[in-house]
Amino acid sequence: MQSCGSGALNTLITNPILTERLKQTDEGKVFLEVWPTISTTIDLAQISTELLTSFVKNSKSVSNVLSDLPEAEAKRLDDLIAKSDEVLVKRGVGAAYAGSVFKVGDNIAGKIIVQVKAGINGKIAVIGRKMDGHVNEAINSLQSQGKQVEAFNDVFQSGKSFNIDGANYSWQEIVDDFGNINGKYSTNSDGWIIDEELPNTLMYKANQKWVQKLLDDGYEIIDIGYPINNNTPSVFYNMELNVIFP
Amino acid sequence: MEYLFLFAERVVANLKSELVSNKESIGHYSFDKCLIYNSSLEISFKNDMSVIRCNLSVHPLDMPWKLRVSIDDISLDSEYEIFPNLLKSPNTLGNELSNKLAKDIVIALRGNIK
Repeated sequence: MQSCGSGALNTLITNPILTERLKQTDEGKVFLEVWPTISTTIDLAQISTELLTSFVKNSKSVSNVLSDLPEAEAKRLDDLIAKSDEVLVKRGVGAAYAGSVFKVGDNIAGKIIVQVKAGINGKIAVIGRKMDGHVNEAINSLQSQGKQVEAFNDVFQSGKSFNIDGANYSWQEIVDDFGNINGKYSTNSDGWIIDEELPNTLMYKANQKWVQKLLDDGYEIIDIGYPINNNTPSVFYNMELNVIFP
Repeated sequence: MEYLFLFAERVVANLKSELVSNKESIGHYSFDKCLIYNSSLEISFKNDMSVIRCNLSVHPLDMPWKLRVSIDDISLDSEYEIFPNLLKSPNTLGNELSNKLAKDIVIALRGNIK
């Protein structure tokens, strides 16, 4: 049983300056919302995964404010975070704040992170405007560091199937459909499927499914944006951004 | 995916032919490999000293598609735009582009030797 004890960390409730500072950020507000439940529970194992994850992640995010707690209380808070994390690991969620390793401005294989969505399952997905020489390089770099990674490319999607509009399709069927050999989709004179038609392709729908899976499963999602010298918009990339970073 | 096979065959055939025709001035190169994945291909020729690589990704996030060529990991300046109708016409548009590509590679190799 992971007990946190009663009456811990009264300063968080009684110190108006500290609570006011916490209220100044979204993370601080969430921390104050979950804190009454966390601080009064007898057994952390009875707390939902969602609440524990929120507590651990947001505690880390506002650690600069919480560091002003009296020393003994700061230590008790650290213990509480560590015990919560233990519970999460036992549930197979992994380190709850592992997804916060990367931040905006960090560099992966020469690519600058422009946005990060924190995760809870310890796995990382990378998105960006280009795969070849951009996302794929970042992925290779993360893999070489031993990270569990994923991208919407052949390497990670071959062998998987996607349920689209009630039917199952292999990655190869999806790629072939995008090849538009039978002229299923309207094209311009060079054969490019026109933008208005792209959302009807299996590839676009598979991309949507993949993005939703990342969100449902709690992947940390790293956006490395556009490569140098390429700011051409992409219907696919724009969809990813709109869903992940609305 | 089949159109990648047909286009790759044109690249390999034209490049091989051009390298053999110019072996006296650029040295001997041998076909190394041609790897075709669902949405990308990688072709290489090599000798003891250097490697020629051609890479193409037809992933939707790589649109507009460009075939990249490098010699010993140094990219050629020229860009080879690949569009769907070119891939669907390997014996005409595909052959034409791969012919130009092969000639450009030989010119670059001659430049390296000088």
